[in-house]
Amino acid sequence: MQRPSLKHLAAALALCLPLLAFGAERQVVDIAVKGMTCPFCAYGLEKNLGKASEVEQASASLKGQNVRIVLKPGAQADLGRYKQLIHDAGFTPGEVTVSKEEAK
Amino acid sequence: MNVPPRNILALAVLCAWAGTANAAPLTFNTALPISKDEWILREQFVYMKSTDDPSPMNRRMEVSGLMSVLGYGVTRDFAVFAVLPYADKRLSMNVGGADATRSQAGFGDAMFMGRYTAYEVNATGHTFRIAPFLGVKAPTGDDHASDRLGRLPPMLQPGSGSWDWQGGAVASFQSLDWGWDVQLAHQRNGEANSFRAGAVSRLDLSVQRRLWPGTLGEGVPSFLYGGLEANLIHVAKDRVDGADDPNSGGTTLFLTPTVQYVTRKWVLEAGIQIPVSQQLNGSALRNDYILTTGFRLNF
Repeated sequence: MQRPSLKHLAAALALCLPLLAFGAERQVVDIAVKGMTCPFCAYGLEKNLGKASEVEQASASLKGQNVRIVLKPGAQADLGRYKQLIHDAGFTPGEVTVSKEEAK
Repeated sequence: MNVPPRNILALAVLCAWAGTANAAPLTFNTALPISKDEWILREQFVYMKSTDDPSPMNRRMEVSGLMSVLGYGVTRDFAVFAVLPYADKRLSMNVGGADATRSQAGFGDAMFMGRYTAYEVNATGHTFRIAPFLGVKAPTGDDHASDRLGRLPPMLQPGSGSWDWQGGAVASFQSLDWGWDVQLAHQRNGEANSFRAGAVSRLDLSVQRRLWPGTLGEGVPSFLYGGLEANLIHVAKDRVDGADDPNSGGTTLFLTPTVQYVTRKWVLEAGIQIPVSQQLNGSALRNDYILTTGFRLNF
């Protein structure tokens, strides 16, 4: 019987990666943002939060007056850093809520 | 020859950096923030027409200009701006019963500006800020341009040849539904080629209202704003060879309806400045209107 080559092992691992990620948890941070009043400035805020390497996605909500930060699976939230980045974007951070969700 | 058109164009140049952030005035500055490390590019096309000539020369002045503005947030409170204008200026008049036209196109004087947010109050759904600013216009444009008739007058030169300073302060309030801005500014011009353009003092007001969407949805929807701006501009008399030019300077009140479509990454905007009152000195040429349209990109 032919032994599996390294190439075959790598291909099998690549196929399994999505299965390994499925079911992993990731942190979601919601931070209230004061002073955010229009779409153009919301983009600056999202871009600034993207500077944190563990942030997978930052989505502002004008109606909710907050920003939702979704972290990469397994990453730990750095709340002080996010507040500083919101401050650097020209706004004032408010109440923070941290929750967990399953990575899709 | 009077110079108000030159001053009006200079005002357009000096205020082209205005409102690079958010929904903001079209014709002057804003105190609203530019994020730290954020770049903003603004391109403004300006068309100005002045044909109301109280003298028998029947002068007509047209200026088409493109203002390129680059803004950068150095810190959350301090932003810098660079402005490079390109203008095509055309002056027609009746000389000895025949029409004569002189024109010139080229890059004008570059301007550099700094703005510092000195006071701010951020609350849920609104912000209020006060920001002083200081700028300098460097004589980078050609101020010795000539045509077949000889050296062009200052109003047709792409550059002024002088170092000009502008300072002032702007206060801005903005909520999710509406906003207002008020600015007080002064511009002092240097002397070059035995000519000094009159100092400019101005008081500006702006009100913007979100027209669409009527009800906010989730996330970051695009906004359509309608606005009205008022610019009260006083220009002192020019100095030519050390003496006041009696046919220059005066006070103008512009009203400007504006419309802006604001998305997360770009803004489209347009407005028309209509001079509702022009108390100009001597035979100074009266302005008809100034049309401004352009876009902004956030990157």
